[in-house]
Amino acid sequence: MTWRRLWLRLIRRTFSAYLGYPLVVVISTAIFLMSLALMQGVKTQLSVYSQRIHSNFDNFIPNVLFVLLGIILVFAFFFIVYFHRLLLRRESPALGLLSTLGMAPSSRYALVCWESVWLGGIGIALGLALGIVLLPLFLMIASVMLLLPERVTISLHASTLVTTAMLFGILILLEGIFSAWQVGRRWPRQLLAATRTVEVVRRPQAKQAILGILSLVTAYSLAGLIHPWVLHHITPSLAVILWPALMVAIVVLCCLGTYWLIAESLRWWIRRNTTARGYDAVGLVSRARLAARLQSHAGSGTLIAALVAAVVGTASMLVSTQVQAFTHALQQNPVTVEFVTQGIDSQKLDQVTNQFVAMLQQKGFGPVRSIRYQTVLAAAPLQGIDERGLAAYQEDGGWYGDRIRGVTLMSRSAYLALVQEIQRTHGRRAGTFPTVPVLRPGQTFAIRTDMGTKATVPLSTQDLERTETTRWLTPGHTYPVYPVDLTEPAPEPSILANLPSLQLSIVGAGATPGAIVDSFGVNQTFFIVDDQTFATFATQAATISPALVATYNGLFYDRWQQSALVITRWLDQQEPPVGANLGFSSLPTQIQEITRYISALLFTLGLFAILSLLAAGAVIVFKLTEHVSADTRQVATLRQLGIGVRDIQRILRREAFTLLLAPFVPGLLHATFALLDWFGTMRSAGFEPDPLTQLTAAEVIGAIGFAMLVIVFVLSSIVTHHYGRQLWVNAQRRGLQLAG
Amino acid sequence: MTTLVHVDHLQKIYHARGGVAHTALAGVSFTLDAGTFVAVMGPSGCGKTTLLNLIAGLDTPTAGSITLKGQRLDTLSEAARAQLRRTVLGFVFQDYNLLDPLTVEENVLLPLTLEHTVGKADLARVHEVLTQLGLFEYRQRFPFELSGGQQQRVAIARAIVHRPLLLLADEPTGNLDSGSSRMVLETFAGLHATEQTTVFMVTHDPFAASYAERVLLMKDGQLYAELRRGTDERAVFYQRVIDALSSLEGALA
Repeated sequence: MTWRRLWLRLIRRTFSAYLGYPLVVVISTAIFLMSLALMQGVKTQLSVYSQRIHSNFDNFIPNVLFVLLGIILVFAFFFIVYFHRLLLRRESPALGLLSTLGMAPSSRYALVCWESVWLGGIGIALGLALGIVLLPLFLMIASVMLLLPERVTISLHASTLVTTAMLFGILILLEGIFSAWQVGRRWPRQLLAATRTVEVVRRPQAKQAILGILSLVTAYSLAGLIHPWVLHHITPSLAVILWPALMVAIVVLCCLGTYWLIAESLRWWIRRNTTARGYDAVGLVSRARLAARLQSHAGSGTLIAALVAAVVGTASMLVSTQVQAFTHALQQNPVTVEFVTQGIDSQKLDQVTNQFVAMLQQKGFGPVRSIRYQTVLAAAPLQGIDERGLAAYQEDGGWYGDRIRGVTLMSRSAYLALVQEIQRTHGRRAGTFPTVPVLRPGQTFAIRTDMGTKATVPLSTQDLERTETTRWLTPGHTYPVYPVDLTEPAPEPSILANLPSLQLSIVGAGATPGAIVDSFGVNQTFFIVDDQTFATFATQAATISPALVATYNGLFYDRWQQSALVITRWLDQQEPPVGANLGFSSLPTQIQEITRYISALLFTLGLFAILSLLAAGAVIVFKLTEHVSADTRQVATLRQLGIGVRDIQRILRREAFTLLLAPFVPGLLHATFALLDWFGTMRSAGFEPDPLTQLTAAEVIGAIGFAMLVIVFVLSSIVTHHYGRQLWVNAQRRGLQLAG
Repeated sequence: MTTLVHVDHLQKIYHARGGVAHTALAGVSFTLDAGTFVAVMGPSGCGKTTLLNLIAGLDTPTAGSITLKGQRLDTLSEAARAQLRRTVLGFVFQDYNLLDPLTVEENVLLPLTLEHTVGKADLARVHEVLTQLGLFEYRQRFPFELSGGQQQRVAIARAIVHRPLLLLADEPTGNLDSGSSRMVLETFAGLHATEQTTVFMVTHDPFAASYAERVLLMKDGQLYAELRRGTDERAVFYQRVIDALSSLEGALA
């Protein structure tokens, strides 16, 4: 029999106490292995994929996954070191006893090292096995979440296994050696003294309690008012220094404020409440204990609040950015998918459209509604035409841009049908479109697009916008409109002289934030006319140049977002997918790109959040259980004083719930102000976040807040149960009476 | 009689946070002969446990020296001090310090395993000690299944299993009722009488101290007085200890 065998017996008999450390190694190793395999799989997959379609995303996602691996390693390191420290703290009395009994320092050193490597080694082996088992599921989830072009194939190379095993092996060995050195250099008396944990409770300091609240108020004021303003309202050279400096100041103030809020303000409030509410036994004990615990949890609470703020703030920023980008893409290109031809080859257009509709319906994205509409490119002089006619506006084949404007003509019925479908398919993201009244021949309703306005602009006696471009949109005035494409060189003077024209009287005007149809050309003004006038003008324009008339087949269906990937692949596979004179809406691919970027970041953030949550939970739970020994005696005393078991459970539950919740509340507040800072910075840079984006960000914070509340409630119940059991077992071992 | 321990002008100063210094021992000197039973008494914070820890080599003195079995502790490496603790010393603590997951037998076996790989002879020795202390039938039990007095006797068994020259006991009866205390003290007295084990016991209990041959009274980190039992009956010596303590308390007041 050797001391090693006795120590092994000790581990075997109290294995549950030793479970945390190897379990952490198992989970860390498995997550790292799966992530490494994912990164390698994605790299391979994207290298094949990018041979067909090149995308910036191909470089982006491996970089994101690389960062993710870094985050996992940092967390793994934190968890492994933290749990090993907890284990050593638990073992400290036994190590102290062995030293007192004469264990040589070298043996003590070897024991700690050997135990770390032994438990860690088992953890690594099990972690690798778990990683291999869970890998297919992990890759499947990751493929869906990262919107990868094809599902990542399971390719677990020996190098992945060896890298993971070696990395964690080195980590554990280093941690073992460092811990052993730390334990080895301590005097036996110090190790023995670690058995007695005395919780010294300070009285809350009013000065620091006020300082805490002041720090938070200052930080929030800086974030809400000054920080966003700085970026674009002072000289760039100063802004480059001041903006990050203010950011650091806000973070530091938030951390200090949170610490003092938990350690002082909250405790002060609880203690004040204790006496204000009278001397109810359970309340008295509960609040006194809580005040003491909050003091020792302030440091970890601040860290958790910072993590919560980082995760929630980033998530809401990412989601709101996605909404903003979606909205922008939709407004620039509102029709889900559209095929367009500049000419009269509508037969080919229909052929391609039908083929595509069939594919969409076969893939389950249908029913697909198809709308056909036409537009005519035209030009309208800003001032009255002189005797030279349109020739006066052109020189050397070009056009004078400040005196003549390009317009797009569209029939009222086509406009109404289109708007109805856009709003039906895209809902509140589609923006708002001006209401066009019934028009008589010779009347028009002018709509300016891409105006940066949030709502339609009604007809008024004032100018639509105080610029040269819009001054001519004066209601009641009549303007001539000619079938001319201003993006093309000017036609021969003889043709110009004989151009047909329309005299259109403006009966109303409005503006919309984005395009009405796919912005085919550069014309940003739409003249809506009655159907008869449009048909006549389109026929005349087609005789001059078929390219002046564009025929669209716009497709609308509900699951348009999910179809992006399929559309891209379909386009990739067709040879050629559309004819030379046919165009295709870029909206699905834009949406796909946005979604892929944001999903990749959210995936990383999600994993980071899960790891943070695990770390936060572990820290709180183990900080709670640190006091189990002192608590057993306290609880036994409370029982002797006549406090019931249920009341004690209530005290413990309330304590766990408050301790778990305490960091989340300031964390969510920080996230909200971080978001306000973000919106402020966007505004300062000239990008006004639309109401939907702001609403979505608020919804994200609300949803995460609610989810956290549920998690905290469930976790506190588990902790109470676990802690209660530990108390009871401890009491039994010490011969203290708790039950009954 | 040979000198087992020689303590010479021993000083220990603890530095707390904020630079506050606390003098636990302020120049203590005495010798401890082999085969004697010595108790150290004094009010809380007078430096009794610090003195014990220093003699055991569990901590380092700020000044002064301790010579144990002819070897100055401050000149030894930690490995050599550990070797001394393993072979020369035995420890009994106030709160027993038994390892809960190990059985009584395994707890007692522990010091032997630190010295060498134990065999049947060692196990027989463990059984002998357990029988001597009336614990043989409990050898397969875990410490938490025993009473406080029984646990302290297991701690004593662990402390004497390797036949130490010096048994150090820190408030061994502090957590025990009077019956259990008497039993533990009888055990010490028996060991001292039969095995000639030197016992150095820190206590605040005059009754426990009355079992010793010599009582050192400490105050403010210094030796205040010394009582020798001589030929007195234990009851008489007990009274003398009480009187000395009263005088010490008077001096403190």
